[in-house]
Amino acid sequence: MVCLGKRRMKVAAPNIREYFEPVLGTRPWKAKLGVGSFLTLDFGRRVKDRGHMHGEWHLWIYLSNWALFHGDRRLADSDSDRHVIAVAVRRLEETSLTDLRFEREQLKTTFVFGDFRLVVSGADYLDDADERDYYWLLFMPTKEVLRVGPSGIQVERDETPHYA
Amino acid sequence: MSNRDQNREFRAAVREIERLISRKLTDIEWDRLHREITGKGFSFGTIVEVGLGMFG
Repeated sequence: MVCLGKRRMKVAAPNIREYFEPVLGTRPWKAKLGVGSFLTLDFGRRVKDRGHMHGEWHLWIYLSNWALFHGDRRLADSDSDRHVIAVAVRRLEETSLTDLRFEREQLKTTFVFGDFRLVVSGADYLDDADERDYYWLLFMPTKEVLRVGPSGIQVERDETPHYA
Repeated sequence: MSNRDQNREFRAAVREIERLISRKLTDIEWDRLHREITGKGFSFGTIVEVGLGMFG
């Protein structure tokens, strides 16, 4: 399927964890609150794109419900006060991404950072959610973008890397 | 405005930009727009203007 310079790769039941292998065991050098409850986490080499620094590996937690735990303690979730989120999410810069768990039936992803867990599932606040309302996206230096959303898991390759 | 409202507003702004430029934004363009407006507290209209400036 060809669409505006993008090639959709048909990957049968991709193993999400495999895509994260290169960054497992590494710390996000930036973990930040974006618009609303969106989060961005940057791994790997720092690259500059149009005046903004980000990682070669760039994880964007997008239209989702999420919760961040430290052990059993819930530090923040996607409905928390923005200041609380900003402080809580920065704590992920202290530790490495150690594991990733994906529950295919619920399309629920748990990003494990040592004792921290970031649990991400679909947004329950969209009345008309469509296939582009991704829960999260991972931009990779291989020009691929891994996405999980209402339609499941997708991997696309773009013509240019995200830091071109 | 709640976090949910801001999320929905960004989503709606992307859709509006796409309507005005008559094409879908790529994931990378989407991400670039998000980076550009993060922390600036822009209104819906301003987000659309920024997007048109970047991709229009």
